[in-house]
Amino acid sequence: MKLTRNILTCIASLIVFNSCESKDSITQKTEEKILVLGNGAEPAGLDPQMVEGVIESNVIRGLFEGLCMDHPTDPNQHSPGAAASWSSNANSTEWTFKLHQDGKWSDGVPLTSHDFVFAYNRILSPEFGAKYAWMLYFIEGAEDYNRNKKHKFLLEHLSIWDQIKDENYSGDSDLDSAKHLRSFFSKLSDEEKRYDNDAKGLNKLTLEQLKAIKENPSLFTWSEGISTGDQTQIIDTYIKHSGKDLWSMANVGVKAVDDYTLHISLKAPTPYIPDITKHYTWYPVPKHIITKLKNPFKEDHTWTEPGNLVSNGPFQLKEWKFNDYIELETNSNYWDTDNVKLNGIKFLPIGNAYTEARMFFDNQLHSTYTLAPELIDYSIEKNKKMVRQETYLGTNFLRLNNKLPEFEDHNLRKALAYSVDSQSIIDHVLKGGQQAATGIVPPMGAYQPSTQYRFDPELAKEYFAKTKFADDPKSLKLVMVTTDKETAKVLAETVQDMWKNHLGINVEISQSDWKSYLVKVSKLDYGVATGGWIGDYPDPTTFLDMWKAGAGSNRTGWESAEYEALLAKAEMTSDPAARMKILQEAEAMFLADYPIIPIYWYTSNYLHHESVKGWNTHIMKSQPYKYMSLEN
Amino acid sequence: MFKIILSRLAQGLLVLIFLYTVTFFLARWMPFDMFTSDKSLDAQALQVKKAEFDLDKTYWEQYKISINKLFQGDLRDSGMMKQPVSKIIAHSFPVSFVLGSAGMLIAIIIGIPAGIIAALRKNSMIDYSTMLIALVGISVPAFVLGPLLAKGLGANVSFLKVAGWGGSFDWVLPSITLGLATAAYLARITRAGMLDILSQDYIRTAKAKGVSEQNIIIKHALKGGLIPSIAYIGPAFAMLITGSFIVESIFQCPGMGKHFINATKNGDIFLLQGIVLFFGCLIVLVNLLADILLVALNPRLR
Amino acid sequence: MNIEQGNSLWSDAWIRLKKNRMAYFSLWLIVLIIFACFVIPIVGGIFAPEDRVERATNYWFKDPNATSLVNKFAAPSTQHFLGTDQLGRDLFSRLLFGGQISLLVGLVATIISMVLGISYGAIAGYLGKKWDAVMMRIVDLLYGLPFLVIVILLSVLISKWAKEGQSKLEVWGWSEALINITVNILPLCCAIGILGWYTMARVVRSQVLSSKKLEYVEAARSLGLSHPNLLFKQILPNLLGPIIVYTTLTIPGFILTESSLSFLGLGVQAPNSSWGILLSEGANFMETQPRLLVIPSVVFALTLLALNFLGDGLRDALDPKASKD
Repeated sequence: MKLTRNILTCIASLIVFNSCESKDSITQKTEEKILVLGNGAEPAGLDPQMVEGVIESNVIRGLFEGLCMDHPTDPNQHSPGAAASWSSNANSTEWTFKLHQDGKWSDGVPLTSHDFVFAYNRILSPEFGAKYAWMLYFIEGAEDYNRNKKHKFLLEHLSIWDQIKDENYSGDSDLDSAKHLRSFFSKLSDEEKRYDNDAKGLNKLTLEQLKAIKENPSLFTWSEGISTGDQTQIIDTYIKHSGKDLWSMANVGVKAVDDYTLHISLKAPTPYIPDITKHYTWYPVPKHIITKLKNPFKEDHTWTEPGNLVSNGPFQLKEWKFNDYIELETNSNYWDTDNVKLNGIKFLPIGNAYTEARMFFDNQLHSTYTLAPELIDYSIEKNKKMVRQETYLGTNFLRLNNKLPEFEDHNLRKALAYSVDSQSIIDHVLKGGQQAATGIVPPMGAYQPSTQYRFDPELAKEYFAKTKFADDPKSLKLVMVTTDKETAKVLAETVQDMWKNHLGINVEISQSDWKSYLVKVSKLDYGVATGGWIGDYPDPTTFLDMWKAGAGSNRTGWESAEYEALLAKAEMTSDPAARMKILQEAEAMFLADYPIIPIYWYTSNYLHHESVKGWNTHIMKSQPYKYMSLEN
Repeated sequence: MFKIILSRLAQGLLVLIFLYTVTFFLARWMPFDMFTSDKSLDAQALQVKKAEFDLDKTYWEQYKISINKLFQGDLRDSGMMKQPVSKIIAHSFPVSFVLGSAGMLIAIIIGIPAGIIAALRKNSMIDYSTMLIALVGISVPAFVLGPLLAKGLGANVSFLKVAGWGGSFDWVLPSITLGLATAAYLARITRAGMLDILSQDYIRTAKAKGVSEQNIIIKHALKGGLIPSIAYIGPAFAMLITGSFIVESIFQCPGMGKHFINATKNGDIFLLQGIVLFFGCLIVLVNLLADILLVALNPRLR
Repeated sequence: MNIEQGNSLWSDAWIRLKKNRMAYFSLWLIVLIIFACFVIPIVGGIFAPEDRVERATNYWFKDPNATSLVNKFAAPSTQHFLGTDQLGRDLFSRLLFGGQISLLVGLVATIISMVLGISYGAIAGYLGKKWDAVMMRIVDLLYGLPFLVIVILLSVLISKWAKEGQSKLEVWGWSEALINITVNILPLCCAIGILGWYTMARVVRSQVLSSKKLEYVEAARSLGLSHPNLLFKQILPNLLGPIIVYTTLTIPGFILTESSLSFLGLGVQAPNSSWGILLSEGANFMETQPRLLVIPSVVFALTLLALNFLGDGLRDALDPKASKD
């Protein structure tokens, strides 16, 4: 039959078409010195200033390099990165970084301090909208620039500043000026003009609009008590400086002293800044490439495409087969390229942990991204040496909805907290060698973690007896929201049953997909929520700043001005020991209200092939690839 | 015939426009969007980002922009992947197409003969055992069959891998996983369709007249008996080539199913709209093909 | 002509069904499964001791949601007839409780999709021409809609309704279990059924299209039968075969869909089980504890086998032509 013949030809051509490649085996890749890694998912771009996740960071760490670099073995020391040396003043507010004289981008163009200044200008630029811009708020003036506080730069020195500082500068988001978008400003009626101006705020008005207001101040809604003279003065200042670059007005504390010297002024003493510079937000980007883009300060993926991407790290982008793999190769222009022992790295976006483990045991990977709890025992049995369990900078905890009437009674919070048996969850469910969490900040460096939380069912019952639900535990109706991840579900099930056992209450579990869950939790539409937090840098503040009133990650409804005052005080303290003490105080103050229930401190569990050398434990699992080598 | 096809294509275009419009609004009613994140953007940055995707405008204006760009052949950029939607589809569809076609072939090669044989030998051991196997095939979900195949065949047969994409035979296991369940459905449906025809009067008459069994089957029974199977194959094929998240995830294939699920879960509306539109085209085409085939088998349908 | 013959269609069918050993056996198997899933848990629940520890140690029918981490993966024993799962919960009672949900979902969703799919497909096929084109293009459109988006939107809507409905039903004094079924499970069944009728509609439509021009239909038409009469009394009964087969085929899909929706917040929520949930949890322990996958799979497959053989038997029994053999 004709059809059959066609079908057969089809199959045959398929086989022939694909038949050039042989089986990827780790032995072969090891000989080629190419590291093959499981990497969770397809990265959402490779622009270090735009991304926000571990997956992207894993690739970007190979491509780019910050000022300082991890030491190959000692986590308390730093090695030279893009900077050959650095120094600071006594209280760690002024830092000077000396770049390598022979530092180059992968296309051979010298890497200079101007690249850094440009990079920080770009990531902080308000029109760029980088999610992680706050990682640079350590720098003097960075926050004001990022938040587009043009009014502050222009008007702060005026004598009337105190009166006028609360004017409508950044616009009123309740007003929607979209419907006027297509008409020219001059064609709008006065009423529409005012509406439009109010919606935008003084900082965003064009020269045309400013001039119109100068002629007719009623085209803008001024708050009461601002005299016409003051209004004119404000508008005049704006007109005078219109067209001026916000960056130059802002005077952000990053200066290129000369081509190879970078000076950074910080707003507060920050002795741990070398650690911060290892974060991808602090990496330089190639000024000579990006300034050629249509708009350097807008998101643009073209410069990160294979063939276009120019980087300064030990590796450069070789191939990006979308959704399939990303491959890096050695960057011969890297300043320390002689000491790079790998020839390349291949990242596979494997989302399914079971598939990843199967591929590892089928010799297709050097190291996995993760290891599902169900597979830990099995893998240990198979080959104990290949299973890695390392401390990981993160805390898993339950959020309590502090605004819920039921939780006004702190006894209930305490009863719930003391009846969670974290250790048995770790021993029987998670199995990854995690540590039962006794506070929100995991142990790190000199910080003494809180010891407030523990499993004590008798104490829990005592507290529960003091609540109004003591007589009829079933009358307490709580919803525990969690995600569609298996580990989150199992955790919720276990905790729910513990509360049933010890307190007799019946909590309802509600699963949803990750983003729906985030929406629910952010809207405080929950009773209890499972959750976790991974530190961005090894300092307690990464776990403490999130509980400030305005922080997007708070999501508990808990707030305290005193707490924020303590954090501010810590920020201004240059003595590390004293600073840690204040931070501990802050944590204790936060936990005293039992706004959350810490469950465990994370470990990273993964499978790892023995042929990889120089892969040391790392608290953030961001081992530098530079020091690794492969030996059969 | 040509006229019918033309009119069907025009109808298809209408379906696509409706589909795009409905998806456009459904996607915007989802409780979250692409900016929802664990580390949330502050209000100002959010505004900047929304403006970049025109999401600060009214729905109606967004719709007009989208339709405009659509007619210029621009499906816009994915918000999460930072890549043009058309590029994402162009990269992932070939994979899904190979898997789906191979899966469908496996399903047809196994399912239809099995169904015919079972119908001809109704209530015999052959019938029972074929149907038993088919039913087991249906009740073993892909998330069980896939790992079993990976462990059983992938780990032991030299030219097969447990997962991964790029080698010559990497399509085999995922296609089998996709195809077996469909084969089982097809076998059941074919059997039922054949039985139905075989009991029709005209077949009985033919039998009574002494026409040989082989002749009856080939000349008469197959034509009518396969109608339900073909009606089923149309949508089933569309389903297979649009990719399966589960199978792609188990075998680590860079297909489209993954993007479809992720686009939804991430609120990546442009990617979602693009994929839905593309799937819509496929569905319209495949159903058209199935209908043409039906008419060819049974001219009375015209 | 006596009275028995007057009831002939159904009584004849029953007699014929009884003769088909496979189908008859399947019927009893289904009755047994339904009995096990609905009666045992209720009886077991009524006589269960109040105290959780007491029930966990000394009572034959365990609480399906009571965990006991130290006792996880226990092998089958007189304590736990089928052993325990990864959290030390009794697999036997989880399987039975899960069966309630899965059977209910399977039944309700199937009925909904059957009614919608058959009537829609039949009408489209019967009317033919323009109507057929319009109706089938609507199906194409529905096919193309992103399932997951609809599910997410539904889960938001339903959770809103559930909250309001729950408080209303509580006022009316409904029992907790009943409320749970009404506000959580029924909307889920409807959602699955409503999203699952398209293929049925296509299958039925193509059948009606082809059979409406057959001689017997033409004959009936020339007798001046009304359209509904012609469609529902003459054409559809002759299509019962494919319809029954296709219906029984959709059930496993529906039951498995239920579990994937649970993870998105629609329907049965953890720690409650369903067969689909047990299967997907069991699949995670395929390597280490195959029992957790094999047991629910066997029960699931047996039920489907029985349903399908019963469906075949019913088809044969109801087929008027078969009796002429």
